[in-house]
Amino acid sequence: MTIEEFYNAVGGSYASVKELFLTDERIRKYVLKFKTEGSYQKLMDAVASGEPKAAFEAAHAFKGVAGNIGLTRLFNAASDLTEQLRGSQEPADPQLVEKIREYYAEVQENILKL
Amino acid sequence: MKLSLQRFTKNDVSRHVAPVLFSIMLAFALIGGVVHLRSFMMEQMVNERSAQLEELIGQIRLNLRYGIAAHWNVVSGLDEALHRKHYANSQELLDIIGDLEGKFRLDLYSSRIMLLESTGTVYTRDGDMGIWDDIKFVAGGNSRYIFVTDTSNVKGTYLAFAQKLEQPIVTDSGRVITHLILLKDIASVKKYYDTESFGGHAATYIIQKNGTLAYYDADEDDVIGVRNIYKALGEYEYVRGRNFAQVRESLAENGIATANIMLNGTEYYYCLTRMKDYDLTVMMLIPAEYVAISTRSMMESTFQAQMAFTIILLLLLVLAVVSVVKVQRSSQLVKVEQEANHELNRLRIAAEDALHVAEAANKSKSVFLSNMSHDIRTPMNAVIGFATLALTNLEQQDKVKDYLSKILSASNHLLSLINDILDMSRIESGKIQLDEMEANLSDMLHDIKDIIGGQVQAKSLELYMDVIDVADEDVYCDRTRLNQVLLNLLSNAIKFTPPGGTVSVRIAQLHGAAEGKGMYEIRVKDNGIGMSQEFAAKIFEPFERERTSTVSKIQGTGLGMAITKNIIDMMGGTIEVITEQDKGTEFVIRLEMRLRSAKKTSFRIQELEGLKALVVDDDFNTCDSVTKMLVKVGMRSEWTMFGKEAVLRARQSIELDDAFHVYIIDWRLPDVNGVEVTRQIRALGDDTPIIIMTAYDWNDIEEEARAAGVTAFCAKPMFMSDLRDSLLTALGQQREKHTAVLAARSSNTSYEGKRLLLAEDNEMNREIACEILGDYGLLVETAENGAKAVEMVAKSQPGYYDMVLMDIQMPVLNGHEATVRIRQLPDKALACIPIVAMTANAFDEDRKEAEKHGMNGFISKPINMKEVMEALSSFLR
Repeated sequence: MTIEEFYNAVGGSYASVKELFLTDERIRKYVLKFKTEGSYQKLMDAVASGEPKAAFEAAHAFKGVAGNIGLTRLFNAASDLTEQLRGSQEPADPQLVEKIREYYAEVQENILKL
Repeated sequence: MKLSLQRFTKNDVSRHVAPVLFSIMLAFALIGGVVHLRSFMMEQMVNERSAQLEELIGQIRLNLRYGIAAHWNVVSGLDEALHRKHYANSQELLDIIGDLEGKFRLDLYSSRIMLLESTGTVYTRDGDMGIWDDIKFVAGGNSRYIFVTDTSNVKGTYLAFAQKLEQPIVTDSGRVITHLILLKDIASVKKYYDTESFGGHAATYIIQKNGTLAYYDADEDDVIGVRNIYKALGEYEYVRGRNFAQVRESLAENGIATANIMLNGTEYYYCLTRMKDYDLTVMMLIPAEYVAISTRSMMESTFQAQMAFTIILLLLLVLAVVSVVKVQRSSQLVKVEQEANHELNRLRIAAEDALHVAEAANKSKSVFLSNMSHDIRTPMNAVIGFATLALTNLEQQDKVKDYLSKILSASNHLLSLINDILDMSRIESGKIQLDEMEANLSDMLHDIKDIIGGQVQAKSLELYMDVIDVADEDVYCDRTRLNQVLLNLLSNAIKFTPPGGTVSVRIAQLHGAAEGKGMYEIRVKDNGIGMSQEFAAKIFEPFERERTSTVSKIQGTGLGMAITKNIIDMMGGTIEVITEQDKGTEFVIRLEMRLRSAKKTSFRIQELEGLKALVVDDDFNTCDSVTKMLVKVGMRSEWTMFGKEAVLRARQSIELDDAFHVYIIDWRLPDVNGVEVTRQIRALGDDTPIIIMTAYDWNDIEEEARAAGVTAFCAKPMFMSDLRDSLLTALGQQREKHTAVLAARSSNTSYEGKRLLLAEDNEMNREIACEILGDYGLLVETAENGAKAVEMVAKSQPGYYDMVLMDIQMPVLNGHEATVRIRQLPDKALACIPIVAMTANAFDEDRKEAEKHGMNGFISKPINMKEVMEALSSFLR
């Protein structure tokens, strides 16, 4: 699977990330790094803890990472959650969390095909 | 010859086995027959002799019978005569004896009378003889006895005929005469059995009833030597299987018997006859050699004659066999000789042929020499002539110039001629050795193309160079010589093709090479003036140039093809020519070369794996070959022979979202040239690498091509290595483009070398930011949290860091706090370092906060270089 195909498969913006990273190799490098990057897990833990503030910060951080490598769909989902949690005392919206989980799984699945 | 002789004798034996065997068998048969015959004859002889003996002895027997009968008659007469008288006393008896002997003429019988008295006293004419010794002979109850008697009473040995008197004679004196005995001198019995038949060698035995010898009569001594004759006879070796028992049986039955014995190593015959009535047996013992001598000698001579005859027959047979064998032998020899003659003939013819060939070669050498000398003299003369002219026209510069250029050209020609001649002679004398070196076919053909490119262009010819299925480019070969060959063929092609024509070189790798070797076929083709078939047949001979006006105008040494052929031969390859007058010529070289790399290297380019490529060339073979090579690289390949179609296909592929990832386009296409095709494809907005293939030098068109959007050039002939290099180059170009952009990025601004401190807790974000910023030539140091950031700033020299990029959300100390701390640093220079916040959202509260805490500005995340640049330009001095 090419990088471009990968981005297409996971709803990422290949074009923008290509513009930034310039070579597919570079993109691939970071995509592969994303595979083992820890902020997703941190987010899930934070959500599980039920602590709104922790969840917010984790979501925010996760969003940043996803965004940095142009995983737009995932980024948007993370962003939604972040906004939901911003300044809120409520715990994380399970639906939003679920979305994140879904898209993340999709990303991981496709990373394996690279 | 020796060999054939050996073969011959073996043959001989095997062949003559039958007759020889037959002869041997015949000989054996003959000998056997003779032997058998001899034994048969011997037996016959024995029988004959036996028969003779029997006859003899029968005769004797008869004689004896008559003789004995006669004597008994006498005895009867005496008896009667005696009884006529009366005797007073013994004296009267004695007187009567004498009387009777006279009356009966007993002297004729060699006999005398003896009277036996009952007291045992015997009386002869001589008186009272006393008691008789042999009285026992008449003791039996018979009236008549015959026996041999030899007593002290009467001198001499007698055959006694004893007659018992029916009426004894009684004298007055009281004497009783019981027996009358006639005594016959034994010697006179002889006449009854005597025979001249045996040369006096017969021995006569008179044998008594009990088998003991009574009387022996012979000239020689008794060979039997014992008294018990029968016993002795029983013990002798009998010849021809008879034995004494049989003899006695025969004697009993017939009264006569004969036998054949070995006695003391000598063969004897004996015959017996028994006087049955009188218990007397007469035996004759004769040495065999005297028995039936005449018969014997006749038989012997017959036998000898037979033997002689047989021997002669045998000899004849042997002679016949020998002569037959000899005849066959000689016929064999004749055959062998014939064969030898044939062989000689053949050899002679071969020698003659060789001689002709040698003579022809010699002749061609002479022709060669004469041609050569002519060919050398011509340019030499030109040189001298023009030099002389030049000398005499020194002032006329343009003339001199002309002469000098003519001298140069003639000299060059002469040099090439001399080189060729030297080459030829070296090759022929075997002094040339192929120098096998490492070679790369792609390099070789490219070099050749470079060399002849100029000539091709100068003559306005078209050059095609193609590679078909060459999997192995790295070989061992004598590069120099192979180049020589190819250049020779190509220069000929160029020479003999008029302007506007085409010259093509095609190299293909064939199957069926030996292990570790590759089989290659190189075709050099032109559509020039071609050759006649007669010439084509001789083309590889030295100095053969066609005698046509066109050709003779064309310069050449006439040795090129001969040298070419020699080189190809030395390399173990073949070269052939296909030509037709006015149509063109094609040379086909087939050559097996050792491969350099045994293992198959992979040609795959990972980056292009599975991607699509489009090949555009008006020659199908090229499309095919390049497609196959692309497949080896790992790509999918399509092709078209038209530029217009190529553009259409490009467009379609983009629309179908299955774009080509590389285009390989031949420069010279029939409908629209490759550069134009490039332009049009680029117009579709396609960024894909485009490689232009061309057999020509692209220097002139390069600028234009690159402007049109060509990524790379590839020179034909395109080998796999060339294709790969081009692909990688094209891909690299893209990278280069990016780098160029990057270079542009960094050179546009003067931020190169500026140092930033990046505070970001997420590792991946940190790395990404570092790398991107690094593109711009910025030096980046990182801190994983606010506290670290403060520390690093505090420790630094003012001006070390040009700017700080501060993430907000960080553990330990967040961005805001860190900024505050930095602003509070004692060192003013450090304190007012530009700090730029990195936020995810333009309208984030964090931004407002950022400003509040003393940050100079903000850039959004994901990292955006434009904003970074702006920030840099804003905040850096």
